[in-house]
Amino acid sequence: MRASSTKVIAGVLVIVLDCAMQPFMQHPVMVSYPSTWLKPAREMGNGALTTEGIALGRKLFYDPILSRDSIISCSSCHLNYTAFAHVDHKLSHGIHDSIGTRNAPALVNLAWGKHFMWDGAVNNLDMQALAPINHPEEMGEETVHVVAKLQRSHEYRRLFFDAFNDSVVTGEHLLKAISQFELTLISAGSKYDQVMEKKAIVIFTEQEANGYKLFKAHCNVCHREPLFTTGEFANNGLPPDSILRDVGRMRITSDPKDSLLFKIPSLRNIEFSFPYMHDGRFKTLRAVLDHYDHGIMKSTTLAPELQHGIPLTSNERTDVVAFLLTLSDRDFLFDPAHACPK
Amino acid sequence: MRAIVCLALVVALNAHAQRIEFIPWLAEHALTLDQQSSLPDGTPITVTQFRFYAGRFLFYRGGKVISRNDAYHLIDAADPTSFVVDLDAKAAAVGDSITFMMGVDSLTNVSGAFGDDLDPTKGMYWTWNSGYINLKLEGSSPASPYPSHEFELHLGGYSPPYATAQRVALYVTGSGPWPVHVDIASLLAAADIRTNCNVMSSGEKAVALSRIAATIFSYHAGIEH
Repeated sequence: MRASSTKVIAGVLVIVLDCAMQPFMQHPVMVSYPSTWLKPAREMGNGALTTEGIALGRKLFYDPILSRDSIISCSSCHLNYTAFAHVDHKLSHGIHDSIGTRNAPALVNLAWGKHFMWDGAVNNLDMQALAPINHPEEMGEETVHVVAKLQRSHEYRRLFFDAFNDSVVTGEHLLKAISQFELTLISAGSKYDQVMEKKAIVIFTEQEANGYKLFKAHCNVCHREPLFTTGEFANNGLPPDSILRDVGRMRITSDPKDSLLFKIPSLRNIEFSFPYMHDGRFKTLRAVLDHYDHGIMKSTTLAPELQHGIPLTSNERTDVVAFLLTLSDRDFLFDPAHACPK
Repeated sequence: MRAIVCLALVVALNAHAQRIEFIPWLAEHALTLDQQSSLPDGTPITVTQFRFYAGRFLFYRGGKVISRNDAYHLIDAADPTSFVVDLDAKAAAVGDSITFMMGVDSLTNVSGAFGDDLDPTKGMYWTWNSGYINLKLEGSSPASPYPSHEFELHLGGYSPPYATAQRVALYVTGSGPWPVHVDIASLLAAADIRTNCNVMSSGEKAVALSRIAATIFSYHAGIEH
């Protein structure tokens, strides 16, 4: 009897030790997008996304611990309800009431992106968070300090272990967690998408249909469906602001051919991501279309498609705006999985 | 019993593990950070930081690759334990030359976040314009025209035409360890401390200095350190 119970205890001990040695298995997450879309630039299958990684990234995205004064989080300038943009703010805000030099862009369908930031400064979504964390007018913090702060938190140590089998917080895991969450920000449920599916009984109004026709004729070259961007850079004829003197892509490449080129933004959820352009100079979509009609500044790098502007009648502009509003995806904006974790 | 055999095997392998030891060198002496020294032309100089990446090691025998070690190592003058790079034991036995990347290759630069020595918290990553800094050399000299007479060389950039990582080739002899001097004075001479010894971004200057940086490595057989 004694021998038998010793065996049982030993057996239990082996199992317990065995469990302790086994790495925690993360749960892979498969994200879905319309079958008609191109394959994303970024691998999202094969365990690239996990429930635990996304949960950690989401918590970090909403946590001001990333900033030096613990006031600014990613969501300060990228709020889910407003297309992950900073609604009604021309330029990004940061610690100590500092004002940045560019408009906080909407975050959507990032897995299809090849370059990030208005000038394409960041070459991989994993590395993007470093830019706002370190920027003195955004979060103003050293990444190594962020890692140290997270390491002091029992909760974060547990979450990092759950996500990466390692409770030691590293820069690599911090960045990968944030990008995992960001990769889930897929918007493909707008009225436009429903019309394109041709399954549901959803059709454009006459005005939206005319706007779509005009859009395809004048805008689709750069704001290409279904992502509503080619992901490339273009000079859309904005006279440079005399204070900001922003040369755009040339800052990164030092190539004069890239002077005044900025990344072509997606137009998805554009109803909510105002103000528009890299410096937030236009408050309304109407003002944007007015610019393309009669505000274009000619220069050597101006996009060839805009050499003569986009002349539209007042009614046509109204129709284009009506079409652009069909790109709003309320299921995306109000998805509880995208919101601040409770 | 099996455990003892394994342990003995590990010990035996370790005994034959080949090593490269990078030795930062400044005008006749191993570099001491924060200590005033002088360049060969007599210019006083104090180096406060010297770090660089070395990786993608290839080992050759008779012109053929016999072994490789792909990891990147951050060599930091402030941390002598970082000078030593342990290599494949196989290379030790039969290798006659090595090559390695001084700096991080372009594919790694565009492939997202990495850990260990490539972790972006190491301070060797540009966050305003993605990409690793391949080499950092900072210090001061009365000859520098900049505030506090400081100078800063941050060499990086991975996109053509401003790609800066360089492959360095060295002949080696004997069974090692292989000491490799890293001659900071040559790099400073090329950078010209009197005129414009501040480089903080990619571009023509970073490319030119990186080509020089690839020539500052030399194998010193049989020298005791």
